[in-house]
Amino acid sequence: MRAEREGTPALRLSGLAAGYRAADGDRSVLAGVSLEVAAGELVALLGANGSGKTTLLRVIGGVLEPRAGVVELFGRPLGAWSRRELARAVAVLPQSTELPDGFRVSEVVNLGRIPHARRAFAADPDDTRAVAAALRDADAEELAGRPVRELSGGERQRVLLALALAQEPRLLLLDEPTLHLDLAHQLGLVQLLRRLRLTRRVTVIAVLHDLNLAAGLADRVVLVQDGRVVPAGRDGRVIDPELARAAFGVAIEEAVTGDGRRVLAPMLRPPRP
Amino acid sequence: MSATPVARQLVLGPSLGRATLVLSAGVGLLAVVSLAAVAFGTTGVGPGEAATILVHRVLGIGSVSWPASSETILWELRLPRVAAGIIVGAGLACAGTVFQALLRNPLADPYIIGTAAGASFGAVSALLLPAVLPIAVGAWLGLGMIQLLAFAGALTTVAVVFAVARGRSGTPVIALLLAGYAISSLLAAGVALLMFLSGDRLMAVVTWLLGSLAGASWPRLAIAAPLIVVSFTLLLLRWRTLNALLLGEQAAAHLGVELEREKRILAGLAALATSAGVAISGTIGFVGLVVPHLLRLAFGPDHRLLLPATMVYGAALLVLADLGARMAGGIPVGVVTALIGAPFFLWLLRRSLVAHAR
Repeated sequence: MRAEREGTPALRLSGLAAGYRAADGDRSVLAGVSLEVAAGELVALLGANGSGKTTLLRVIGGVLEPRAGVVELFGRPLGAWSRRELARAVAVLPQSTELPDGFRVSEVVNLGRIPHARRAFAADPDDTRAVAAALRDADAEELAGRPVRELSGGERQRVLLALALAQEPRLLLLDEPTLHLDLAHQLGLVQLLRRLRLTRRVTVIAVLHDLNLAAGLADRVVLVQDGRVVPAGRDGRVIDPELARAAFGVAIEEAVTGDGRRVLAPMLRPPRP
Repeated sequence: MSATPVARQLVLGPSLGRATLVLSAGVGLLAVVSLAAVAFGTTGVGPGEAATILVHRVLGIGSVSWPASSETILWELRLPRVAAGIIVGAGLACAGTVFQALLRNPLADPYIIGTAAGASFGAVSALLLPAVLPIAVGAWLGLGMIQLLAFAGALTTVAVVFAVARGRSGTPVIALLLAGYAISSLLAAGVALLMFLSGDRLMAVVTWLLGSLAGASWPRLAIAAPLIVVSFTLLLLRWRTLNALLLGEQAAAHLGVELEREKRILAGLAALATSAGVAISGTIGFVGLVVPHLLRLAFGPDHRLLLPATMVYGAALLVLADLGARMAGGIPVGVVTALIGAPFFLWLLRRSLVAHAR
């Protein structure tokens, strides 16, 4: 491990711009994004479709070159990382990944060891330990011997999380990890991520769609809106209903549950003027 | 931390014992079919005589009791032919495995991005060229102009396909497939035109296009074999990259794979092995399509075992098919591989359809 100053942020973005080339000219998605995520922090990204959440994760994950600005991971500019170094520090759970037919779960999770490989053909002695730990931390131990094609949606997601953990990352990027999950599995995943932070001291940045899930998961929620990021919290709230309303363009009401917790409810009708 | 009981049972890939079994069974099979292919033939040299000649040549044991022609048949015809079958079969099957993983397309074979069309166009051009200069140059190289132009045609075509398919942010797999298809079609039209104009050389053209190991000779092998062996070695070392690609390109990138570089290296090496093989044998179909599918089904998708296995079993299949082709009166081996391969592929397809319906 490199020596790092105490308090070096896991991620620092400053004046970041990013976009895609299109047939009819360049499309700018992110402009002037500045964000700092402390090591060990759990941050949720919220925002409307097309607001740039996935683009932001792609830049941080090193698969999309930013157009301008600074991206620093653990105090080091992104451009200075080799692809392999990056894969040892940052793991990504994408929106959808095909799981190759014919593999067992443990074999797929072992693919996460690829960036750590040191020998041409032989497996690394560390691999077994790392895969076992990843399966345990992703709550997927009992799936180890199962063929991947037999997995349900919730099981697949845990296996993909285990694959990411087998990379032994310091930063975990999750793109809508609850997408295909039912309610129980959504809550289960949130609990899992909160536990991971304690057991692995990993920094997590997750794109989510559910306001309450985001508020329940994260230390801090960030809104991606019009190509910029703004804090979602205000006045002691993790998510301020006013700011969420602006970001999503729908009516959002705040309610208080019987045990005194604030929840946010998107409303079908537009608010009265 | 000591290994938990679960950790000790974890299957992370094919075990050493299983790999040894699979590969030694393949090598055994290859040895048996190779010996059979050396021992049997239509030209009067029987298995007994073949064995005594071999023992004499290799070990220096025994006295000469056979006509010189028998020794020539064995040493200059059958042996190089079997050796060519081994190299070409291994090369095609291995290249097919690589292209199937790289392009994530079950129909991918070694010819998919233009090697076959390029080689055919080169070879047919050479067959029909005025034969003065080519013979001089070819004889000097120990190669025919056909082989030379087939090799050059295949590699040039792949380079053109890559250049055409290259976009501003990389080379998308679908663009490679489409460009490969379009350029192959263009070259196929050229081949068809040349065939139409070929007159009395048509039979030679058709024979080459169907694929045959009859033209194998030691000098040609001496040039093709090192190219194929080098590609093999470098491809074998990339088994982790191929495994990562099974998850898709994006996921492979997140596992540390330099996508664009690896795509060019993998396709380049597979095309090199294919081109060298096609140059000495013509375009033999189905070996590079069926063998990877069958072995993936039997031994699993992990390329650490799959790549070497396809080489060994691909070699055995082509040597066997060529023995069959010779025994059936010298029909082109490409016809035999298609006759075995196509029904077999249909059976695989039916099997997977039935399995998924359950």
